[in-house]
Amino acid sequence: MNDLDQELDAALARLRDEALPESVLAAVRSGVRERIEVGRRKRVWTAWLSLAAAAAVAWIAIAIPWTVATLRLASPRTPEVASIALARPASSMTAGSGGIAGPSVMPPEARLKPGRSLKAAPPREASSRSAALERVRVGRHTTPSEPAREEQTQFMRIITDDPNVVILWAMNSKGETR
Amino acid sequence: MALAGITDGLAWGSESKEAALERLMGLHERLVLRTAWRMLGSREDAQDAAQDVFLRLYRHLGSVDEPTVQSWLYRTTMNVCYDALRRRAKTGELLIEPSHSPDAGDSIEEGEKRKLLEAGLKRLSPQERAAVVLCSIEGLSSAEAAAALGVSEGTVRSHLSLARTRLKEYVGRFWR
Repeated sequence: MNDLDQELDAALARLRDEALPESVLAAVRSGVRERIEVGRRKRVWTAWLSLAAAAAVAWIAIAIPWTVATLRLASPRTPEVASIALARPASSMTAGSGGIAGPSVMPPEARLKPGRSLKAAPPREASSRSAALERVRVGRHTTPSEPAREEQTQFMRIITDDPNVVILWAMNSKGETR
Repeated sequence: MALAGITDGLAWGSESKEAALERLMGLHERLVLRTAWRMLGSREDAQDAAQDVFLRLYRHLGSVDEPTVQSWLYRTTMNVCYDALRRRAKTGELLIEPSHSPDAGDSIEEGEKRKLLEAGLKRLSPQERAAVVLCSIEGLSSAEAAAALGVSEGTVRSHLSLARTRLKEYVGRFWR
């Protein structure tokens, strides 16, 4: 090892023994403490924010279904009305022809008040306006407080060509008609 | 004794952890700051690096054994310094600040020699500088330096040999 090597080693060793300024060491210590404190405050805030977010999500998850259910209970239900277009117009039905099967079939005589005659209807056209009028509406009224299925009553309104004549036919679930 | 033992024996509050950190900072702060200062060549950067190292130690207090804490600190200091040097290279920052001004007790010759040596250190690559700082300044063996740098002993010896050659070339022009 020559002189330059020895000189270099000695100079490097002196660098190791050099005293560091106390102010720099104190700055390091205080900086570490400060950053730890900042990190702790940040963690506390993060925890609170997470808690608040979780509470908000829980409130939304509970409140929205509850509100919807409350509104459903509070609002009255509108009767569901089904419209059925007859295959044939009511006015074209004749007694004993058996135009429509089942309880909705009524002889034309039964639908007319005494003293009134059944007018002869023109042949039905698929696109005629009278076809829109010749509908039988079957209304099924249901309410939230509907007690039991036995008490359900079905209404049938039969509209004839004569606007003054409307036939209402009621039938309960036992098959009794009015 | 593991550092986990220090904190396990006491309450799991932050106070016990902070007390352990304070004790370890008192024992090793010079080592960390000196190493960072020689690696980065700037007092402010060395302060930031030392703070990063001790913050990492604070986070890993439970997983670092006390007998190996010095090796852990060297390794972490080197990693932090490498990160800082990479950031500096990306931003193209130039380092012109001398790391020390000569002490009042130094002769002019000693002060000049030290300045030249520091300037020569800054001209080395980070790997060569790390080898010189750990082996020639801090006095670690090749194996200890290799463990701190995460490379083989042969790599450390190679870097050290190359670094010494370049340092001698640089300072030899002025010292003679």
